[in-house]
Amino acid sequence: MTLFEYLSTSEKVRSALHRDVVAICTEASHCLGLEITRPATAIIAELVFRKISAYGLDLEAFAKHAKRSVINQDDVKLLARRNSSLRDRLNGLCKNTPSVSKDKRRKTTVPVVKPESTRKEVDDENQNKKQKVNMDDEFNLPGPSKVSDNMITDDPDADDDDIILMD
Amino acid sequence: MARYNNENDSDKIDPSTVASELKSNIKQDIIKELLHGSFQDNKTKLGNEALTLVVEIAKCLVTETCLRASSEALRDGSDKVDFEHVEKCLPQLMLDFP
Repeated sequence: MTLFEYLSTSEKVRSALHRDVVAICTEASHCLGLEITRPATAIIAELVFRKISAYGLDLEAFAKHAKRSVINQDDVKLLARRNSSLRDRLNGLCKNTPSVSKDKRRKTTVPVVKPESTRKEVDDENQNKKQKVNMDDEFNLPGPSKVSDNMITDDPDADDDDIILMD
Repeated sequence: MARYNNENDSDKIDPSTVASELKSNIKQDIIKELLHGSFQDNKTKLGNEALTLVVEIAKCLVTETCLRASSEALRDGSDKVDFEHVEKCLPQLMLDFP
């Protein structure tokens, strides 16, 4: 085990990859009743090493082209664009894991308010965006007069309702 | 992939069934280290789902190479898959995996 520690990072990656490749290759060839030799697995491991390194450059370029710094699933799917069966396989894998991103979006739902004050809420939001200085006052809502100063509303009777604002 | 299927109907090799039956995998950490080693910009990051897809591509690459080399060996009549059998598959493999 101490010998492994003396290797450089790329050599460690190569040897770990070689071990996994040997496992997959022996299993696949045993399905057909064949044995795979050491030079053959070595060459396959080297092939994978170089291919994935090349893919890394491509993925980085794709993400940069989309003006992102995080590599997406879409970038990886772009790699497989020329191979239809590989593309279909990746799309099939993607369908199993879209729920993660959808759950993250549910944290910012708008609370439901009474229908009379919905228009007020929309106007209020617009005012918030334009006049950020007045935001503290609108949250405290001291009285109806101050509310009517900042907003254009046709419904004076709705002044008593508390306006629930989103962040 | 289509060409592979046409040639090997007589040998009855179905790559998708073999690939789905394989229990061993390539570890995610290895692929992550490998990709990070080839990035030119330090700020580039890799999403988790993207990493899963790249691991799947790598596994497909290994499986496909191995099965094509195995069918070459079967055609040769030998019971060991050797370096020459892998060599014969390389040109088509390089065209299939961009």
